[in-house]
Amino acid sequence: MLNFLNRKAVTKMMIMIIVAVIIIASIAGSLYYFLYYLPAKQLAPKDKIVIGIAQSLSGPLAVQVMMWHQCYKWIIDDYNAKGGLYVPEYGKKLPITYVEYDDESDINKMLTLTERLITIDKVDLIFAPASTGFCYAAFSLYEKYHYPVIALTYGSQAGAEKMRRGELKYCFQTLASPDEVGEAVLGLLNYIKDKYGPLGNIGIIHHTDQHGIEHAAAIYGQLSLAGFNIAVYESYPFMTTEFKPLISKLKEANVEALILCGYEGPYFLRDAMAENYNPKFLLLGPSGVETPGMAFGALGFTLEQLKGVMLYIGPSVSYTENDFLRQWAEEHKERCRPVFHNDYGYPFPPSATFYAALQCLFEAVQKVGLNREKIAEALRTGSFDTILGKMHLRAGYSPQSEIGGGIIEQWQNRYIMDVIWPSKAASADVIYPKPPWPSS
Amino acid sequence: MGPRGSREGRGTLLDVIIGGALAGALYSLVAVGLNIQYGITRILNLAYGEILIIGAYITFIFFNFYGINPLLTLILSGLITFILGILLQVAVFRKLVHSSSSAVELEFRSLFACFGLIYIIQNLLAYIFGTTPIGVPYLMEGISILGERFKTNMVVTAVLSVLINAVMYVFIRFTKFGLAMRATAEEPLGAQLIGIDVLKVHLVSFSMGCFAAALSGSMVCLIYSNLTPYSGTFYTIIALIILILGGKGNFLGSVAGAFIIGCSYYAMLRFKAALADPVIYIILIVVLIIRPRGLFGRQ
Repeated sequence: MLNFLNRKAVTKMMIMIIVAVIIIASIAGSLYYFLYYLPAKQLAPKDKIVIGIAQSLSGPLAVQVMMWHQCYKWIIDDYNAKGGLYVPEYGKKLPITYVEYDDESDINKMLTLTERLITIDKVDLIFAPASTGFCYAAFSLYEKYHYPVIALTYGSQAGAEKMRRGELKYCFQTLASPDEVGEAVLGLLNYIKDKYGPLGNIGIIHHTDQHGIEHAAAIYGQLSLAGFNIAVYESYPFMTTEFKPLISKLKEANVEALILCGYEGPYFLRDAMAENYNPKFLLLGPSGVETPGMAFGALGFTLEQLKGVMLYIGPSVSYTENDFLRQWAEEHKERCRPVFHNDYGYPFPPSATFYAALQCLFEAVQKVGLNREKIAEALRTGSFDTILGKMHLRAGYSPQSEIGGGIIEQWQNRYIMDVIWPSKAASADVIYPKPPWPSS
Repeated sequence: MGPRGSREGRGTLLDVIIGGALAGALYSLVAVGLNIQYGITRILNLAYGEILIIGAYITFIFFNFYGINPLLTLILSGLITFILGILLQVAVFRKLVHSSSSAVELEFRSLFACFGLIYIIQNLLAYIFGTTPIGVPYLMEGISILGERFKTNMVVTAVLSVLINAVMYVFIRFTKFGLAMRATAEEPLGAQLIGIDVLKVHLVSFSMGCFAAALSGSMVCLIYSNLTPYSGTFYTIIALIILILGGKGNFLGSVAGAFIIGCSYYAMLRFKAALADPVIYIILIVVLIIRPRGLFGRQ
C-alpha cells in the first residue's frame, strides 16, 4: 500500500521529472507575477485619460469634419463637466484630454499620425478620422494595435461585411450600411405603392465613388428583385455641378421616383427647380441638405423649397421623442452658432446617434477599465446607457437603440428633418407625392 | 425617325449647344486670365484657382455683410484682386523675374512660389472664414431659351463672361498697351530693346489675370453654393486644360478651347454621364499628341 514510498520506487528519472516540473512552474509563476499580477497591482500613476484624434482640420475634408465631428469635443466637455471618466482599476474618475493632429485631408498623413498617436503619444483611446475612405484605411491600424474605435462617418458595404465575418474586431460603425438602406428604400416604396397606388418609372443615378456605387447597387438589387420598373440606372462624375443634361434624360424616360446616391444633392435640386422637374418621390444621399445650418445657410434653400425632399442617412432621430432630445436639439443649435453663423444650427438626423455611439465607448471604459481588449469585447456584447436609451453596437450593422433608428428622413414642416422610415422609428407619415417647387 | 423623334432630337441638340455654350462662356473667363498671365509673363500661376476663390469670398462678404447686389460686387471683387495682383507681382514674381537667368528657370521658380501661395491663401481663408461652404444663391429660377430651360444665373454669368472677354480682347488687340503686351509675349528681349517697359507690362498682365480670375470666382459663387477655401484647385485644372487646348498666350484660342470643353462635357453628361470626365482628358491627350502647341497656338 505504501509502495510508492518505497525507496526503490523513486527512480532518478522521477526525481528529474519532479525537479523539471518545479522549475517550469516557478518560471511560469514568476512570469505571471511580473507580467500580469505585479503591473495590475502596481498601476502606473495616471491623472488623465488621453484621446488621440487625427482628423482633417484643413483641406477639402475639413468641411465634413466641421459638420460631423463637433460631438468629439462636446462629449469630452460633457464628461469632464461631470468630473471625467470613471476608471475601475483606479477606482476614481479621471479627466479626459485629447491630442489632436491635422491630417490636411491626406489619407497617408492620417495613417502616419494615427500610428504616431498609438506608438509615440501612447493615447488611451482613439476617435476615428473623417469619411468612409479614411476610416476604412485606418481600420488595419486599429486591428494591429488593438484599439477599439467607433467610426462615426463610415458607411460602406466592404468594411461592414468584414465586421460581420469577425475580421475586424476593434472597428465599429455607426451609419447604416448600403444593404440596410436598400431594405429601407424597398420598404418605403412598397408602403407608398400600397397606400397611393402604383409608382411610375423609377430612376437611380449615382456618382462614381464608393458611396454612390455601393448604395445604388444595393437599392437597385432590392427594387429590381421586388419587380419595380427601373427605367434609368446611370452614373455621373463625382461632384459634378451640372445636372441639366441628366434631368432632360430623366424627363424623357418619364421617371417619377428618383433616387440619387451621391453627395451632389444641392446641385441637383437647383437644376431640378430651374428645369421644373418635380418627381413625385425624390430621395437624395447625404450632401449637406440634411444639415439645417447648411441647407438654410450657405446652400440658401428655404423650407418651402425642400418640403417633400427625402434623404437616406441613419440611424436617425427626429428630436421630438422626448423633452431631453428636444432640449438637446436646442443646445446643438447654440453650440453650432459659431460654425454656421445662423439660427439653424439644429442637429442633422444622426447627430444624436453619433453622440450616443461615443457614449458607448466611454461607458464601456467605465465598465471594464482601460484594457482595450476588454473594451472591444464589451462593445461587441454589451449595451450601454446613452442619450438614446440603451444602445447596442452591432458588428457590421448600424447600432440599435431604444430611441431612433430611422433610415429615411423627409423635410416637412420643421427646421429638423422628420424621420419617415422604418415606420417604427417614424415621427411623421411620408408626404407623397412631393409638393411642387414653390416657384412653379 | 418620326416627327416626334425628330422634335426630340432637335431639342436634345439645342440643349447640348446652348447648355455647352453657357458652360463654355464661364470657362472661357476662367481660362483667359491664366492664359494672359502665362502667355505674357511666363509665370504659370498654379495659385490661379485660389485667386478665383478670393473673388468668390469678396462677393460673399459684400453680399452677406453689406447687402450689396451680387452683380455689383463683381466690380469690387475685380478691383480688389487687381490690386492684390499688383502686390503679388511686385513682392514675389518681379523678384523671381530679376533673379532668373532664363524663361525656363523663371517658370520653374515661379511654380514653386505658386505652390507656396496655394497653401498660404487656402489656410489664410480657412483661418479667417472657416471651412463652412459659402455661396450666394442668386437668380436661381429657370429661364427658357429656344424652348430649353436653363438657370437664369448661368445665362447672366455667360453673357457677362462674353462681355468681359470682349472688353479684354479689345484692350489687348486694339490699344497701344495691348500691343506692348503682345510684343512682350512674342519677344520679351526685342520688346525691351524697342523701349517697351516690360516690367510694367508684366505688372498689368499679371493683375489682369487676377482680375479675370476674381470675376469668374464671383460668378461661380452665384451659381454654386459649395465653395470652400480648398475649391480653387478644380478651377486651376480647368484653366490649365483650356490653356493647353487653346494654345499658350492665345486669347481667342482660350475662348475656343473653353467652348470645346464646355460643349464636350455637357454633351457627354447628356448622352453618357459617366464618361464626361474621361472625354475631357481624351481630348487633351489627343491634342497634345497631334498638335502639342494647342489647337490655336502658333509655332
